[in-house]
Amino acid sequence: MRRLPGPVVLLSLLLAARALSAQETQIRGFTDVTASASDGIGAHSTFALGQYDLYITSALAPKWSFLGESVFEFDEDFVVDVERLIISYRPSSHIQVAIGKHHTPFGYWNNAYHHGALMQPTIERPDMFLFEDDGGILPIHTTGLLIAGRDLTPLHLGFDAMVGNGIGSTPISDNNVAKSVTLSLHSQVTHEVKVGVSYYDDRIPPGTPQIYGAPVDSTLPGGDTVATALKQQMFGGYAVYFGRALELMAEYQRVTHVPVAGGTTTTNDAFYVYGGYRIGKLVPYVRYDGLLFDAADLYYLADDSHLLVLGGRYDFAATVQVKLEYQHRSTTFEGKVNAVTVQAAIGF
Amino acid sequence: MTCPVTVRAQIAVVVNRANPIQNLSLSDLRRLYLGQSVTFANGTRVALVTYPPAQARFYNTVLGLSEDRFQRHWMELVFQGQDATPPKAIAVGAELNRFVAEHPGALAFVDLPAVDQSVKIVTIDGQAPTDTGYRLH
Repeated sequence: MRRLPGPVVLLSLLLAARALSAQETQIRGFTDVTASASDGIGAHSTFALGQYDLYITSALAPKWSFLGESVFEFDEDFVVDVERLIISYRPSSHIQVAIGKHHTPFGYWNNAYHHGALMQPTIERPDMFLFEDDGGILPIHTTGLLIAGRDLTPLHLGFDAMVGNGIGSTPISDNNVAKSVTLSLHSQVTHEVKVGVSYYDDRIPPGTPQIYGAPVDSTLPGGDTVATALKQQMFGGYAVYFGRALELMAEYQRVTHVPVAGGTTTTNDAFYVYGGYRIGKLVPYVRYDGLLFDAADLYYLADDSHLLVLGGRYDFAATVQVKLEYQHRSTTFEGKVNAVTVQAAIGF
Repeated sequence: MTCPVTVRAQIAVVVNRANPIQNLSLSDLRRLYLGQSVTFANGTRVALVTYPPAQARFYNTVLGLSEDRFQRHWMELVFQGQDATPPKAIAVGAELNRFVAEHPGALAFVDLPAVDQSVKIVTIDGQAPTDTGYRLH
């Protein structure tokens, strides 16, 4: 991913905000700080700054709007990633045509929660939705064209259809002729219940780096590159319930890789389930993640992973939250690791 | 010896007088205040208004949310890039009535005694604020 010097982006944001002060433009941000201890190999207790996330929304003109999200984070030095950059045209209150860099419109978590830790129910994203930079296995971001519909028909249906640069590409160029295609259909069944299904299709060209199937912190050797072109297809679905006190989420994706030149088709499964129960400002919760790989897969280094998270979050205010978690992870390559993490997350 | 009795005013849901809508279901009211729907059934774009003196009761009764959770919910919607405009807070009844009277898509809640003739009260699930079965108070 191409990265820009932090001061340049910050200056650009501030100058843009001044220039656009005559129109309806908002700048908001999120950040977090964590402290953690782990019994993993080579691990020790540590404090860590989280992502420093700035986002801008602007009503450009009637029916036209802009959303930009830039994240400052440490990766050998503080760098900036442009995580979302979306120019939207809305011909009606129910239809959106948008071009830019989006969170790929599959699943619930990937579109409900972005880079602000304050918003999400647990400290980390589920393994299946980890960002690409963090070892995630799915194409979380896509640069391309999105057509979306919301609150259609008495069933409150919505849809997303997206064409974009595929796996292994960058926000400024694709790495092959084939474009990724994402289709999703969802329904806000009631104000508390939402369900959806999705399909993703792309080609992975030879030379694309293989990736571990689970997030790794140790010094596992790097993988090779994909030797032959693969067709990736991904089917998935979700159901979520957010009631007055009870919170439930479940998501599943099946990723299939088909060698274009012929060979063994492999299937890989990713899922999580989450449950929480609100008691005033406190929400105790549990989450279980699973990543299950086909040992013969040519893109994923089959590092099966199971993660149990037990935790609680306390909302001091709408903009201040503290989470405490115990995490137990079991992976094929690293064995069992226990960790305790506390996170203070804010929005401003 | 007599005990003081606290009487909470009914909360009226009001719209612009030109708005043809007469009734909202509780379900529709929830979807509108949660930004899940952004238009009335007739297609008119909704401009949401909140009334801080009654908002804790309204959020709890109608949405099952605290004021902080309601604020967080709208932060999430804006952050997601959803096409939903956050509610405008107006704490003075006369100003709220004026705003609703001047905006065809306005939807507001307010304590019943603060409602004046410039706006229209809509029934909720067929119940008016003066009806026995009315649930917003």
